[in-house]
Amino acid sequence: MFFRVIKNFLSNEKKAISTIAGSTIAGTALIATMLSLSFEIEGKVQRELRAFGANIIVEPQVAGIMSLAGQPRYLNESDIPKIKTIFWRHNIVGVAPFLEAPIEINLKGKKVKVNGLGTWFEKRLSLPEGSFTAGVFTVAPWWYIDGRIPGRKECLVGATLARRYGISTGDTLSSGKEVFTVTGILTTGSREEELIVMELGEFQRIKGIPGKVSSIWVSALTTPMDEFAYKDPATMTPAEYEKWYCTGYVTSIAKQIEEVVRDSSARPVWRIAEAEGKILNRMKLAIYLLSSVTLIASGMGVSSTLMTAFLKRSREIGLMKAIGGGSLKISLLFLSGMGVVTLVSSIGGFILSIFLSDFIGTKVFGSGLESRALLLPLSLFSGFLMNLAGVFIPLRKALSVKPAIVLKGAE
Amino acid sequence: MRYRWFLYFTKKAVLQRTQRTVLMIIAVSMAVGLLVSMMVLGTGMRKRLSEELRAYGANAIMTSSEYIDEGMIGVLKNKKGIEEVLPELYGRVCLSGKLMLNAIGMPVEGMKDLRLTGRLPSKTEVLIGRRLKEAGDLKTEEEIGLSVECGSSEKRFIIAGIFERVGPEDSAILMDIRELQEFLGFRGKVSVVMLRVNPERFELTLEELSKEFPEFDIKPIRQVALSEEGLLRKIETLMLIVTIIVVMASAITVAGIMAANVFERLTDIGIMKTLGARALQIQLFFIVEAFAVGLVASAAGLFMGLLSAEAISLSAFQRTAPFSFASLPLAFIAGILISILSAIPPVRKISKCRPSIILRGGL
Repeated sequence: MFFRVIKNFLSNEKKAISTIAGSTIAGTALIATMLSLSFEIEGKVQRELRAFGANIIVEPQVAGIMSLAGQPRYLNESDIPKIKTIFWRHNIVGVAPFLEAPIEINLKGKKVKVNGLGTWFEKRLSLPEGSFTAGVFTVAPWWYIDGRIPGRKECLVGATLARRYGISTGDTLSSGKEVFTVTGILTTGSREEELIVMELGEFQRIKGIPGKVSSIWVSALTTPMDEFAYKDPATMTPAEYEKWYCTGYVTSIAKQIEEVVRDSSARPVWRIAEAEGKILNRMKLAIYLLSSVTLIASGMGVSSTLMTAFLKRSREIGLMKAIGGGSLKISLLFLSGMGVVTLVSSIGGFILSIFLSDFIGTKVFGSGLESRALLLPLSLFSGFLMNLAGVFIPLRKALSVKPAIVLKGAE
Repeated sequence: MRYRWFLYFTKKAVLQRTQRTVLMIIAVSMAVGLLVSMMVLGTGMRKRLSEELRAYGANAIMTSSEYIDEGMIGVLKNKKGIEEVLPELYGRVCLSGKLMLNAIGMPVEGMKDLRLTGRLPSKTEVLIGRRLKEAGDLKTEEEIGLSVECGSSEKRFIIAGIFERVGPEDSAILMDIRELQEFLGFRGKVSVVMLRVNPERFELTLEELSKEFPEFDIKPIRQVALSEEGLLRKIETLMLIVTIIVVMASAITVAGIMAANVFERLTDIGIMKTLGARALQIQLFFIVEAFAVGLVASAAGLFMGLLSAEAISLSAFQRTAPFSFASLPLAFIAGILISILSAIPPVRKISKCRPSIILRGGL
């Protein structure tokens, strides 16, 4: 009997069911999409913000003020792959070394003293856990080469320098006995435009300092700095220190890099690190709040649709009461029918949300939002909650009225 | 005479079915509220974010083959689209007669954005870079002697604090630009002018400046300018797509309510038809009802949408969202359109149904 009524409800009330199912699917899909956006926004925006480039710079330690003047100090190139082995190695998304030193170049017969820069353009590092492509574009994606990346016996010329001396792609420069072909003009909008830039190995070779670099730029995904992060690690208790060390703050990641690169001092680029944290927190909060507004509004929208669809069934309830149905039994009957519809349409909403969030992810961030298994129970929960809220009021009202009045046609 | 009959029925339909009318209004106003909230936030978000992006610092730089005259600063400050102007002077100074160092001069208010331990320098005071301090020989409140060249006469300065920027600048000495100008004998001269241009009219402003001052080299600091633009564009696209999805989802919900509303009153429709009403009259009846619902719901939705947008903006950005007058007509157009459009499919069915069948209870 019970199942027959439910079956009848499902097969006879197609109009009502399609209304209920349609709005439940739309509502749960919307809710699940906003939730998955909320879950992912931090990671996505964090990656976007890495476009601002390196947030940690590793330099040689200084000892004594005169060390800034005399023999320049260097870091070892062989330490660089170790940066990808620290505790937060998966958060390191970019690494590139730089070696800067003055060189004398022969420019169409004129001797000019300029600064040269050696760096990695695209370097595959093989690591215990697979390989990683490092290079200048991973820490300074705004570098623009009009031409191509230089190889052996080749170099780039900074835009300002090129303009000043009338150098263009295809020209040759010489430094001592070495002759270099200019393969492109480098535009960065910053001081690199004054430099001659080449592959690190080449520059080390002509300077006669193999295996040495003067700084390493690192781009890392970090946890925004909070009050705790600003505490001086030296004054922390062991427990605090461990918490600090194992949180991906820019300072703790810098500390871990310092530990693996010999004689180094790794410092956050504060302007980048702090601005990033601030923007990340704001974006996150805005999206969270927006999601909650969407959740509430779509919940209310779906519930009111449900109420409308359900109101007219009060007559049936009256009839059931008149022929002796108990309140509990009637409620159970209606709720079970609704339950089946809700279950199916919530799953439908969840499936729809997978497509929607994938669409948003690829359209906006270039990679889909990861669909999480957690979203399925959340979709079901929100679907049931909305529909229960929608059914509750009319059901209670219908159960409280006298059958005679309902059946007469009054509300 | 006709329209009085019409009004009478509309009034009755709305008043006698308060519960359903209220539900319809709720559903439509939720849709309108979300739309308004998204719109206000979407336009506000870009503005707020571009303000936040200020933290990344200057996004354009003005240089010249020679020193730039200080008079330019005032001129630049009054240009449209330029938010901040920060002149810097670069030079070399000798520390204690033995070490040549880079010296940077900038206005003291520009130093507030640096990471600083100690205090801002006043007259005859300097800041030293972090690496100078790490080298170990200098500390805050210490007195140092600086000279233009090693060996020439020294001037005494007090170290007011330690600053940290990035890379080579961290082994420089920083002081008020006036002080450095006087010290080096470059009165009224600056080396570069760092500019913070509003990212929303970045290209345009730079173009105007280059045209107006061809003697200077004005170029974007690609690190900031490019990344900023990319980020803002992404956020905008995100808001747009989410808004579209939200509106579509709410429209489906509203359509459900409207359909239920028509089907529920099939008996009424059947009676009206039997009594000789034409399909068009009955349809008009529902459309007017949808219009009325849309009107009231839009007002409610507008109110709720603005309220929630303000609340979000206040808590996320500590600022109120700018009120856009465009949202006013848009809310009403959207509300009325959503409710009428979603009423059309069920209403069209009215002309097809036959009274005898409806009244018998079938469809």
